[in-house]
Amino acid sequence: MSSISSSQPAVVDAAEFTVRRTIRIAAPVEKVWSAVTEPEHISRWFGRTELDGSGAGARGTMTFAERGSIPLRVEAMDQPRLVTYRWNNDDALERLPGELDVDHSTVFTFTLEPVSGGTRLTVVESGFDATSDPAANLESHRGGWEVELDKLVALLESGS
Amino acid sequence: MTTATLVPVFAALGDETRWSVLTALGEGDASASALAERLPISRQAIAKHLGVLHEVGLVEPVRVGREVQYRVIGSQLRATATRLDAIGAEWDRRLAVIREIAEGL
Repeated sequence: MSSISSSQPAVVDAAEFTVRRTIRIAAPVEKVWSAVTEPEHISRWFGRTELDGSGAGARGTMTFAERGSIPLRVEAMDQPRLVTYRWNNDDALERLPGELDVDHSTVFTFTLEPVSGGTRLTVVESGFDATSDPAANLESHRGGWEVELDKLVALLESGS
Repeated sequence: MTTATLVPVFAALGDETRWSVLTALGEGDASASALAERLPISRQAIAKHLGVLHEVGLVEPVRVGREVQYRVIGSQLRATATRLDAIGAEWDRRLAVIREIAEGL
């Protein structure tokens, strides 16, 4: 039943620059919620995760064998519908910051929706434009324009 | 391409007008004046946007006779699209594990 839509194009909200993926899971929302919020589970799909609490404002780290410890923060939580994390995923940083470096961070949000036979889980990673506040951007660009970068690339390639 | 190098490109692309300038150039090299005839933007504004796009390596000026035309540098856009695809692929892998965990709980 469940399948990954791996052939999705890189749909880009050009004002916001987001990467969005959706998956259908044959498990109730509560279990999916555990999988995306409990550090012992996050450690299995991400880096080894430690948080100093639960809920919005909790801080911690994710440790990757090849990259060391990356600061992580819970930005928002609306159990069991939505959770937003901010992390320093910047693979270009020479030295990983001890504290979360907001200017070089992105946020990713999980949204859980109950559907027949399970849960639809959507993840959106945004804020690649580090010069702006993703939350404010989302607000100001609500109902804004979406473009597919892939289409422009295809247009350019066909023209050259 | 790393996330750090994506940031200035995204900042440059994150503007509807600049996107329309870029799309117009995708149909062929053009001067700022030629673009001003096709787009509802002044030549001065277009020159400014072309400057921003040039700064991050998305377009380059090419002298053709007496005028300067601009050309899209496809490789930079392709690198951006590739990096976004890679980020999406990372999430595909993570979501597959999340599904396994949730379905096994």
